[in-house]
Amino acid sequence: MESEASHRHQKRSKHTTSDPFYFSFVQDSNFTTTVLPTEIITEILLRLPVKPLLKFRSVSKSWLGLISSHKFVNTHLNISSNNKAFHRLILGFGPPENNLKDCSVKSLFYDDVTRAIDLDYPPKKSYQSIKVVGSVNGVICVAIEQKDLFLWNPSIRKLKKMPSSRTGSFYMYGFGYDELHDDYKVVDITLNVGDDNSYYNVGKMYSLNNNSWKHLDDLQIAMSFNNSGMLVNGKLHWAITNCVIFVVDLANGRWEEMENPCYGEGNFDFTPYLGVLGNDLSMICHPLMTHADVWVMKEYGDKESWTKMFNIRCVGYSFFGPHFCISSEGEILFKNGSNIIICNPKDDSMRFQEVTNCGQLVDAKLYIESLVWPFVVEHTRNATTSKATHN
Amino acid sequence: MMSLGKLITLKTNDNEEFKLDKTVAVKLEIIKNIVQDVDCTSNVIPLPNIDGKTMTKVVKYWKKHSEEGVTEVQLKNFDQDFLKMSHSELHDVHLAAKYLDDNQLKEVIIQEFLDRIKGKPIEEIREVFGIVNDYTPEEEEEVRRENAWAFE
Repeated sequence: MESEASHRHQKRSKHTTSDPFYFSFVQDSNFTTTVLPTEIITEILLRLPVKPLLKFRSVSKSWLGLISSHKFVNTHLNISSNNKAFHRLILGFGPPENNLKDCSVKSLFYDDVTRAIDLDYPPKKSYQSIKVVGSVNGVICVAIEQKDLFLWNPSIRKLKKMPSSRTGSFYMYGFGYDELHDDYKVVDITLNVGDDNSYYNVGKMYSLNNNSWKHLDDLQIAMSFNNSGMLVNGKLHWAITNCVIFVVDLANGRWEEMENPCYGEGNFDFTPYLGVLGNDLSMICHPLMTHADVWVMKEYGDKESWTKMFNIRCVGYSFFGPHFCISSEGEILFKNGSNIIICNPKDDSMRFQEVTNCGQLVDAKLYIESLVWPFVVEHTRNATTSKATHN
Repeated sequence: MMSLGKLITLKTNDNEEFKLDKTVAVKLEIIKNIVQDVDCTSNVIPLPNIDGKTMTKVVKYWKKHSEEGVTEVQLKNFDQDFLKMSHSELHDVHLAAKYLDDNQLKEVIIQEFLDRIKGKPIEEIREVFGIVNDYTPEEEEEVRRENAWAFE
């Protein structure tokens, strides 16, 4: 059986090299098995979630090589990024649980009840605080007890400890991907008190490629805001006041300030939440307590392009937290206190999504199911090399 | 430019001819391009990469999906029946759809393959795709062990 199959395989290869559109499929009436070309196999596998792909690594060496290849992992990530079925929310719970769970975004939008799934990660200890610094490409950065940093891909269950920034405090922090250098970076900005009791900030950036922390130059914000940066355009963004967004460029570590939208006439005292809708930087703010506005910066970096997309009526108790994403029907997913809510700006409706297996929700962030793991895995490399030699 | 006859003819590599209403055919990018390019007096479009057996299936699919007044349910039942073919036939139709730049049909085929492998054990996956297991038992065990949880 095996020799027959490999014989067919050889015949097929000969055809494909001479004619990329060859059609006559090599068939043997004695065998029901057909050898399908890599092209269509790849197309099929790219649509699969991570879990079956991990299983399919054991189909054959060439499948292991294919599924582990950089190109496949990246294409799979791109396809998954555009498919809500592969989007998940990582949920952070406060004391006494102090742990992380996750749930499917699609379920939040479309099911009556969503169940939070327990996640397995080695540093799980209920007496230690755990915080999600950020997520990009399916890789999540978590800080335990505000000092121990881990990179973690829950979809493939891989986790690795990073060197500590040694400042012992994550006030403003963020995690992102620097496309220019193909590097993952963590930014940590702390608030310190000087001898004259004045406050000053110290910023540091960690590069995974260099495996080291570097100081950010002349940080002048004197401000602490306990929140994580939003990644857009290779830069991390924090809303520090109602009129200024603080921006750090991951490629070179330079910082700048960006202006918020003009909310209109009046004296506003609030700090907005930043988010990402589509690929655009967005912001939710309550200039007046009766409504929440969702703004989107349509042309990155152009202050004039801030556009008010939605205006959501606040019902007494509602105080909007960060927003995560928008469904194809135009509904927006928000965190509101320790709840997840879904708003429909079209008819001004709002509903609370029931999440079970859930404690005191303090933090939630979007992540994508992916195969990405920015570390070299020895086994995979061997298999890929042997496949290349074979061909 | 092609003359404005109502029917155009698609001719496969094994000389089978398919007469199609032009309004159906020009919906497809590739046919539209050929129609524009070819200095044609005969209205015959050659399809050098598709055989008659496969083209019969494709045309059947096109005709049903461009039928006037056809309901969603009817199309769903038709698709279900249409997709009852061997893996290799499915693949042939996929290649044809790809050549004809018919994204809808391509998508339907890929989805059918996904349904066929959903939840299947590794051994059956190998069968569907005609893959030869080139692992030694020890190697396979090691790869499985790396992600043992995915098999739960």
